[in-house]
Amino acid sequence: MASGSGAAAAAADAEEKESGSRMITLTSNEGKAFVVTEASARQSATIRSMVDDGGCVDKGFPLPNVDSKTLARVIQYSDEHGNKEPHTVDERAALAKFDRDFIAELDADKAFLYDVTMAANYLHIQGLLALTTQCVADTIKGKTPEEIRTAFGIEYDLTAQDEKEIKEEDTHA
Amino acid sequence: MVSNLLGGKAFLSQEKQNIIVLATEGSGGGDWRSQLQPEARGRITAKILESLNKKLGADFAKGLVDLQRVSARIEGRFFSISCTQSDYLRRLSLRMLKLETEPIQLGHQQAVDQSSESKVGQYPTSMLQQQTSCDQQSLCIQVDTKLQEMPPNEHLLDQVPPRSQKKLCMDDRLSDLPDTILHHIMSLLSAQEVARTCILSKRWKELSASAPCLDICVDKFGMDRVRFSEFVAHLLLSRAPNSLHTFRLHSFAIDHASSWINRAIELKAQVLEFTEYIRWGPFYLDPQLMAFASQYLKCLKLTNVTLDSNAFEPLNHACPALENLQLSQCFLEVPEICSASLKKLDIMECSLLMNLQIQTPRLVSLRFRCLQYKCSSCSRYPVITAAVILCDLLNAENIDLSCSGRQVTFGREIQKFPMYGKLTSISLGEWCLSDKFSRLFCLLRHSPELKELTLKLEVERQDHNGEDEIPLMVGRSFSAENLKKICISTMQELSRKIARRQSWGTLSRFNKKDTAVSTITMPQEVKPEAMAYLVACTPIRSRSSLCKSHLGARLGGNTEIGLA
Repeated sequence: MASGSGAAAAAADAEEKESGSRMITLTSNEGKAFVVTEASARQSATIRSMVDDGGCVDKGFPLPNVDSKTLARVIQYSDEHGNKEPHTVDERAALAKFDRDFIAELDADKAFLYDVTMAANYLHIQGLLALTTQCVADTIKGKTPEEIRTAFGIEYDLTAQDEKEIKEEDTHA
Repeated sequence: MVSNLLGGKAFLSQEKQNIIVLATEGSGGGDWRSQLQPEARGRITAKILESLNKKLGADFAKGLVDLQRVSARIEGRFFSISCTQSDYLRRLSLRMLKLETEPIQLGHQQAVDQSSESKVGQYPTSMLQQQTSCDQQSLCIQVDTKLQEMPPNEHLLDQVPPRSQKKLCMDDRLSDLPDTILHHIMSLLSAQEVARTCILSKRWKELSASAPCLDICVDKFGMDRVRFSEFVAHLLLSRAPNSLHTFRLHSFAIDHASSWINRAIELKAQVLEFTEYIRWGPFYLDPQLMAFASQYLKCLKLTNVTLDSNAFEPLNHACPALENLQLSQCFLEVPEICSASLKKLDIMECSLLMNLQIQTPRLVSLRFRCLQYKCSSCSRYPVITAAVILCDLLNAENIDLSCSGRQVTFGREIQKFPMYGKLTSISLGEWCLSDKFSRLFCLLRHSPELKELTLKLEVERQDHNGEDEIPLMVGRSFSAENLKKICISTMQELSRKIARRQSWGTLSRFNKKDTAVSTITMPQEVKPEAMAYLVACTPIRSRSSLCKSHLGARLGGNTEIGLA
């Protein structure tokens, strides 16, 4: 028993040494394979826990909820954040600029922004989820309801009954 | 008398003289408080009230039923923290002067908020431009509304579109997102903005009623504290039980806030943040109106409040889930923090009114920053040198005690184990060098796993004068076998002084055993000699792993040093 756990520990050690250079395959729902560094893949808490639980690193991870276009964009983010660890002020500024450009591009294509948000939520990439949700929140801020409806294409479907309820609420507030 | 007391500074000095006359009989030290007559204090309170009224303007002050209590509290605070009568008077005069000269900054803050918002507004602008229809018009509307918050008395139903308008040019993919994501987005909005989304559509009406995060800030209500109070009270009363996760409240001199906090705790909030308006005196959390006792509370952040031991007590014993506690700019009249569940504790720029003992067995991270020494005439809060006593923190991994003037001492409970058995990173301030480094050594002796040591010697103190050499203390060794990184940041002048005095010599004992310090970062101003000294103390086998610098040649071999 003792020797068994010792061997396991040694194997884990070897794995640890290797992990810096290990590559991981992520497969989109269209069957397209993306090969990324482990550091990049570990940006996702979902994948991280699967890797740490000794999951099938060699076989790769199929992601049935994410299409190729979205996955490519998500990987662009996690590569930037996973493979480089910012140490200096300049590096941090460069990363912040990357985030700004990244989100500005997404913001121009709302449908794609939602896809990336869903993928970030599914893969538990906190930084990316914070970035995309903040972007939507910023769009809502400071707008009248009508402007919000226009910005997101929300259809007004409240009934007279709903309006009455809101009116009652509103007199309290 | 009252009529000639109206002019700012003149009044202050005059009043000061009066009081000094009143109490000179026994002003030669001793208990000055008992000698100060109650009527003198009463008069000072009345003066503060008058200044507050004047400052806030008649309209605003009307809503302030508690202004009297606020001024009594300001006076009482100074009364209890001052060490002498003249100190008391000095603080009061400074405070009054501030009240007279500084504008209250609510309105200003809002202006800043709006200007940053309008920058953010560039995103939606570019998006709107892509829409083919009606883009010019909505662009104009948008720019207009950017400049003003929703008018205070506008009703939500005014925002209902005409029934005829139905189809919009794009699909509503946003509303298709799952509740968790939309609630996440709502948690980034203020409570008012969330409340307003109920009029968007059926889906959003449901979402806004169940939004788990309430973020309410008095800034968003302009100066209207009455409307702010009504909004908060209504929101908290109409909440369904169990629906609140996060409650953030930024209040401004409203005594009700204590009961609102209590209500949030009753609603089983897990994250609770309360900030009293920062230019105002610390808010007194009234144990009569609230109790922190909660099975659910995980994270509590308080800014600019006064916590006495009665209010704090439940946090130690009645909050079994509390993991994260952050106290900023608070007055703490708390003898001990001993929560059994606490993992992260931040005490930032607080004034301690009594010695504070910290004994939290599960704590992983501790940050203790005190007020920087400013010139004494402009510091907002007094620097009070009550001590902090750190007891065994068996699980602490990171400790940051890089405050300058605070006295930190160490207490022991369990003799068997090292006090800081898991500590890997520690940051210390100037104080650790006093008394011949004894505190530093004490910490190092009890921290066998330490990897990173940071010394922040940023504030110049007078203590070092006359200590030209720090004698080596034989027998004061310790094992720091894992110490890999020492980072010393100092003010330029101080570092020169220390370097000259060869204080670095003491660092040689970090490496008494054959340890491997691999990174040493120091400010460039440190004299090469000092650095050479330090490197010379590093065991030869680990030198090659240091990174290259201009000193390499001088020291021979592959010695390298990183410069911060």
